[in-house]
Amino acid sequence: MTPLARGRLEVALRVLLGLLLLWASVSKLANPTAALASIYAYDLPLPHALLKVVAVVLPWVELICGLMLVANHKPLAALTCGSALLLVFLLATGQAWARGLRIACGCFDLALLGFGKHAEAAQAFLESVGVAFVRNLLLAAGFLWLLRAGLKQTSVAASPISQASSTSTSAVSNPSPRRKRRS
Amino acid sequence: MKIDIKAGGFWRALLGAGAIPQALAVVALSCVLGLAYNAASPVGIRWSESDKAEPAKPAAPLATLAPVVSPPVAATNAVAEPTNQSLAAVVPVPSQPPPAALAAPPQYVPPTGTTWAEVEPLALKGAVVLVDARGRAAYDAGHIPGAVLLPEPPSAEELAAFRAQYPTNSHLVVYCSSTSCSLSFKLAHRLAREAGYTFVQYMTGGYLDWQREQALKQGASNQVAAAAAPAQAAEMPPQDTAPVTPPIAANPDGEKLDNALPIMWAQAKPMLATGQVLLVDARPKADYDAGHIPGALWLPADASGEVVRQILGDRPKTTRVVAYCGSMGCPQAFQLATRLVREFSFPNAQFMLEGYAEWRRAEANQPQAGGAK
Repeated sequence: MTPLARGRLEVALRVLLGLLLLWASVSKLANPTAALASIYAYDLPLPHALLKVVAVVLPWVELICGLMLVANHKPLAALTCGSALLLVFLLATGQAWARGLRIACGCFDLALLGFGKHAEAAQAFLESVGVAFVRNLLLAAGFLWLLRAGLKQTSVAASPISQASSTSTSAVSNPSPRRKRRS
Repeated sequence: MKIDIKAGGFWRALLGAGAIPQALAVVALSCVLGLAYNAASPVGIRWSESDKAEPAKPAAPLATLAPVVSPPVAATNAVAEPTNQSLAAVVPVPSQPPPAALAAPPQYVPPTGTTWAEVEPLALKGAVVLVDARGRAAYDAGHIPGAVLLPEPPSAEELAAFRAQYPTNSHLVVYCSSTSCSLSFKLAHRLAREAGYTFVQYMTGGYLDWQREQALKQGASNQVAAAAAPAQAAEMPPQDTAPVTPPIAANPDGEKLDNALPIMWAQAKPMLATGQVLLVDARPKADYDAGHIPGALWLPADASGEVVRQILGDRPKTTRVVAYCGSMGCPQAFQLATRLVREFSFPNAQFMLEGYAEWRRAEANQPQAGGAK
């Protein structure tokens, strides 16, 4: 893969992940009690008070991370945060799937995108925990890949020997944290 | 792209880039914003009152700790006088009236949890609108009589039609499949918030709870029939020839039922004699010491995992463990059996419909009847 193509792929993936996080966040913020019900439905061995805190804070973590990814503001921090989020999601959906809980994952709300009427099947597919688990695996892989790529660029940029090659790639590929540090 | 980040180098690079403190700062900011937004939002999550009814705790769990020296109970006395408590439990009595919301302000009133035991008397009077939040297929396969289908999420047309038919001060009770479904909770909140209903409840036990209550009722009517029948041969357990299988087996949409199933004493008794059944007493220790079904082990409903494993030992997971408690309708047997199914992987664990009080009466005609061992 040429550096140019790779850079474009990274930008596209970063924006996509950011938008997904924003969608998930707004789905929860629009309906906090339903989000709480979804969390309860996972039947986790945690006190309800803690789950309420999660229901209150989680959408905002997603919102801020999503905004940071889309705006390319401190993408490394957002990617770290997003990877940790995905790890938690993987655990929750994984245990629900393994136990055969028939619950809605409470991830995304299709109705927000304007598909209210004919999207029951799509929504059910989107919301089943098995699909959610596999989707989370893919998303986690995406986050970790971007994080690794971002870290590689910072480490390359930091070493004076490879300065020239690094600037030549990051001049064309967008997500260089070094350039963003000005803001 | 010659330089690759090694496994250890990944963490070093992550720390070196300062991403972790920044990520923690994001979480901290989210906490502040989330708490502030939630406090300001009219539909925010409430901290004080429980949004979802907790399952009822077993009665008097602390009593198990008290070393009670119980006097030996004479078998004849024990058989002769059934307690008031057991009589009261046979008749389904609503434990408490649902909260009145007639004087409620016209703004959003959050739904509350309820159970079929509370709803049933109102349903018989036609005072509530039962709303089935499951899909069309599950509804067609079986629903609570009189229930209206309104699948969650409803379309705008369905919601409008529902609202046109039922005024917003109707008492709505929403249900879905069982305790592990969340559709009723979601639909109840939707009806309260979006459609402006001021008295919405959701049935925490769902359709499964209703099925269980029906099974209990069927067991009770069998008992009445058995008591009315002339005394038969002493060896015969009442109604042994026709044990009614409870209608719990209905499982319309192939949903995995991870709740314990009920069993009647008449069904359990022959299996107990042949050792196919392990009987456990889910009541507090004092009650167990005062008298229990012969052969039953003491295993309280709120026992810790360690205690459960200790008592059940290394019995095969296929063992049919049957739990019972004080009298028909008592919660501990159902709770214990469900825990055994869910937490301890005894898929065949069941709860006995009758309790100890009914057992004593059922065995009153038997010559070998004995309360305490």
